[in-house]
Amino acid sequence: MEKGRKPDRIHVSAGRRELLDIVKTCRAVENREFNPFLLDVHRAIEILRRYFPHWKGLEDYCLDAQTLNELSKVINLQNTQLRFQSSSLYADPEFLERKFERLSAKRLAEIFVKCWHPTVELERLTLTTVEEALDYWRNLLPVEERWRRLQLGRSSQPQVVEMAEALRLGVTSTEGFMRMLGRVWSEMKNEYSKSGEVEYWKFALRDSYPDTVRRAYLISFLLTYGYARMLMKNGRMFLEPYETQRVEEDPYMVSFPISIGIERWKEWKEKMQANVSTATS
Amino acid sequence: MERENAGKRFYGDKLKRATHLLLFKRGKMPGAREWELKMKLGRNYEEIVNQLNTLLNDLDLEVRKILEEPVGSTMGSESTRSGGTEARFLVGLKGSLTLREARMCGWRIDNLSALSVAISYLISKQGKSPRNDVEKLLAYKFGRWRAMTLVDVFIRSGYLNEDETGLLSLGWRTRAEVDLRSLMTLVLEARPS
Repeated sequence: MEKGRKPDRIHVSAGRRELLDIVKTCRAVENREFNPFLLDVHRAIEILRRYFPHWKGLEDYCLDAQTLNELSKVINLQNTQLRFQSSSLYADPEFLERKFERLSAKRLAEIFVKCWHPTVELERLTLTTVEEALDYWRNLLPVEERWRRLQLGRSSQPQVVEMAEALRLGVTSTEGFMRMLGRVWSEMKNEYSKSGEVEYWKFALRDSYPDTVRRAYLISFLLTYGYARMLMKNGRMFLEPYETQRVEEDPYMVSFPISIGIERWKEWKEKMQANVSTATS
Repeated sequence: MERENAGKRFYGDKLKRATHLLLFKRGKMPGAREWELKMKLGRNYEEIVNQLNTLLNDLDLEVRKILEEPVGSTMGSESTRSGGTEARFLVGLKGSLTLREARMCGWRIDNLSALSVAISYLISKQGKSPRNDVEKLLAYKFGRWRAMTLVDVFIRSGYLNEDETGLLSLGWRTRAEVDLRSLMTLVLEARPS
């Protein structure tokens, strides 16, 4: 060490970051994203040595062990690559890619059939399948009888339906889908600005069951499209709207099915009504 | 004399049974596992298989023994050579087909060339590569959608394997049917016609 120069200070948080970087690189190597020799194992081990005396808790030691484990896998891959390169199967992938681009499909197929020895495999009827087929044949009713059982009758002709009837049946809507999403989103934002939290069931619950299902459906789209997010607090689900849409590719995003059975809806409705009546009295 | 006849007949029955086991498909994969042959043909199953092999030789066919590798093993790694593998016996073509014969078996030239590209690329990457890379390579000649379909076809037919992380590796059928060394040599030596 030079005289007068202060020794480098060790920051544990920086060490953790470095170790996580090494683990990430090792995993990329394992997934064949990089050549195993691109990772400087000596440097990685030096980093491990440098930070090891400064680790504070169990988590740090676990991270250290994990890094060492990942490094050992990379060393194993380096060993495998060396063995492979010394075998007659070795070819540079980039060179091959260029070769494939130049060779015609027919030439490649000709090469392949020269080293291809296909397997012989024949299909046959077995005693079991013959027995099953016989059983099926014995139990099969004549076509006339089967048609009689179906009692299809005459199918009705297409008819004209009034707009009001179509709206009542729920097959059409006067509002566009994105507009409906926008409406629910602004409702959610209003609710959030007023009370600071939006409970999922309180927000989704409507007076009628179809309206509740429709609202839950729209909420699911708001969550998927990045207009809001869902949080769990003490076993209860809360919604948190964003000010603007956030398009993020989150690898940890998971689908979360929520069942809305009619019985449960009735229970929630009764519960909500009871809460409202106690609040007013 | 009688004993000899009885022995011959007994042996003939076992040969027939071995032929049925090896040629007719019973499950998803063709052929028979080693324990199956042992169970149905007896302890001397290897002798019977060898005799069948001699008979099939005249028809340009052969009995092959392949090791079913555990999932996740790579080419040249220790795990492929050590235990934990199960042997399967198959009957395959000893020689090779012509391109016309292969087409008559239902293979398109495009599919065969895509398979040769996929296999040799995977070999050059030590037997494993991300699916995207293989698809990108195939898409250069066959287009993106066709490349995706072709990879699916190869996985379904057992030429390639795909794990849950999207890594492709060589499947059991490639190991059983393709002479990898000569494929690599021929690809490297090939010149555009």
